Amino acid sequence: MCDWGWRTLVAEFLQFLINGISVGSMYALIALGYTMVYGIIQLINFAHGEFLMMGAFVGSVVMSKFTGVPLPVALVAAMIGAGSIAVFTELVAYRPLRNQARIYVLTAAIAVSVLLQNLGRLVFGAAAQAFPAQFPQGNLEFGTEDSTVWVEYSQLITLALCVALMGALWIVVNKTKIGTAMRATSQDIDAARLMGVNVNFVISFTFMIGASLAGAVGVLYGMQYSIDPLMGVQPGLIAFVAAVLGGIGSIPGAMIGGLLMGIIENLVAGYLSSTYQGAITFVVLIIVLAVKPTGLLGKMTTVKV
Amino acid sequence: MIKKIFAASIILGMSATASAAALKVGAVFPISGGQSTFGEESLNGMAMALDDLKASDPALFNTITVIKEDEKSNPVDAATAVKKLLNVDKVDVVFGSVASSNTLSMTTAVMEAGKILVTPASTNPEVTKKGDGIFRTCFIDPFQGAVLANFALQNLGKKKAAILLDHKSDYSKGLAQFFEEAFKKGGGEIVATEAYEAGKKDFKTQLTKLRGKKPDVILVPGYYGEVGLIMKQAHQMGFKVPMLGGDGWDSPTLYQLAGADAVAGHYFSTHFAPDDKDPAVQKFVKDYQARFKAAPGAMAALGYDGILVIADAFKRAGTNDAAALKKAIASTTGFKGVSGAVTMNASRDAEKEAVVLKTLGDRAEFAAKIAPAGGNAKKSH
Repeated sequence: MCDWGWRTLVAEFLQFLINGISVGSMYALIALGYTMVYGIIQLINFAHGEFLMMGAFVGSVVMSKFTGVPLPVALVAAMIGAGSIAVFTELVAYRPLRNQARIYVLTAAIAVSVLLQNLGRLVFGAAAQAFPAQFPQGNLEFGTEDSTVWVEYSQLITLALCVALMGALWIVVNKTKIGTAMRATSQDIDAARLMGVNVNFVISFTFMIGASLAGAVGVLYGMQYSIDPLMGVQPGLIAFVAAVLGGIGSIPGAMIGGLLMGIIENLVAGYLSSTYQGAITFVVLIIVLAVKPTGLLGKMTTVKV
Repeated sequence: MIKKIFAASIILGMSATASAAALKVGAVFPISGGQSTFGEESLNGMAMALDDLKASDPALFNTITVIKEDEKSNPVDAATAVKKLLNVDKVDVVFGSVASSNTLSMTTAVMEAGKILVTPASTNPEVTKKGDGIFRTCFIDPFQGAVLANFALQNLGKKKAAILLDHKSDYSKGLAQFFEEAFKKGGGEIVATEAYEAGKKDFKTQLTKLRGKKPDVILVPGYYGEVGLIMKQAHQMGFKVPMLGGDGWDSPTLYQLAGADAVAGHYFSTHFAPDDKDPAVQKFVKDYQARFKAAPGAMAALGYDGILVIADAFKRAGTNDAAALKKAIASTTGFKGVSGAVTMNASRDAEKEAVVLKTLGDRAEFAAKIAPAGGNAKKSH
């Protein structure tokens, strides 16, 4: 009887799914940064991918310069590093343009992105480097001889860390005063200001949190793969599409969008062809914009004229 | 009277400098980007060659000027760099680059300007088909593919191969195609082919699909930046099958990215074995190590030989006129370089030996040497 054939197919599907969820959780974390910044000041921060890259390099430098530093410390350092760069960027490049037409700050974001990439090249060198720490090797095996599913420790740790950080963000946004201020500011910035919210501080704080999540992902990327000054470009683009897919401005939307993008990427590579893996991201973007531009969880808002 | 003598001597002086031929070479290599170690090594090899030339033939050395440009490991910047060298610097010969896709993007401008291009390292056969001014001083991929196929069949005894190629690279696609042809001709079977995009870092899905087809060897004809990660991920997945590759692997970064456990036990073909006992090779390795504090890879040897081939042809031509230079380069025979003897054939490619190296934890060691007549891979030391 050939029911082992059916089992092999299921095992393969589960494998693609697991790969997709692991990668997708990282996309989700990055997408959160895009979505929060958009929710607050309606800016697509094209430089967000570079915060990921800066976090990865800060983590790498910390681990190489101070030997014997445990990974969690490097992770925190990366998050602080990326967060600080983001706050500085907002202060210097975006805040002065806040009352101008949207196009100016969007252009500034693109400029910051290119600037940070080339700064990274100057300071760290253009070649890809190995990150000084690696995940513990090994995996869990489920299933039988012909239908095995492997879950690597790296994938488990990545997923766990991403879920933990998303949970921490959820608590900050929903259960703290600053979180309330963030939600108020994203609903109506002028009303929030009238209610006594320090809007400038809230905006800086949002940038900092979003970028520190990206910085954490940078370290995870480094440990799984390698680091280089352009490493933030592709994940940034995919996470941007994920944020749009989930509904730009919606935090749960970004999480779902990220996971979906990871899964879609891997299913397409698995069942169609690995050559389409790059293109599928933009096919998704076009479909979302054509069919439901507000995304899965976004809401249509009418602007009162 | 004095004025007349003065004027006459100036005119004589001017014509003297005008008649001494000078050669302007534009060197285009990947100084940054995914192939940056290839560019770095090529330029280092070239610098060493020019210094050796200065010592051995100072007259020739003084007539050659080299201008360097960065092609940033992508074809668009390569095309821009070559246009600048041709139109602004007015170079006679373009020297470079490494990745076949990038060299191909330069050939149009070079042919339109009626100038010459010599690539030391691009192995895709299409490169020299672009015009009669395009030359290469290394072997081509039909040969390299056959070398790998025969090595797998005869030296390793493997009959079922899978292929994981870089679908944006002409080099990778070409090498995969030539390997497949030779492997099937020798009685082997290609059980699966998957592709990836250079720049992406996650290959687990492709590796999962390949694992399902149970190959006993995998051809990964890509560049070291991705191959290192592929090795690392395959090892993490417990997918321990020997991998084969081409000269795109030849970089110290490969070992750093993959990690000592994952990188060992694979094989790749390249132009030059650093542990070759030939005294010329050993001297080159020693000098390079002393000067650049790192072991030289194939690209360093090719860069070294390439610029010396150009200088030698220029010396024989005696002029920087394109037609004469083309003839001189085309008639290069038995030019002894550190990466082997260079003889130009009718298609403007060099007939050279290939070596197959086996990877260890932090470097590679010699496994086999194959002569350009193709055929069987033999172990010789």
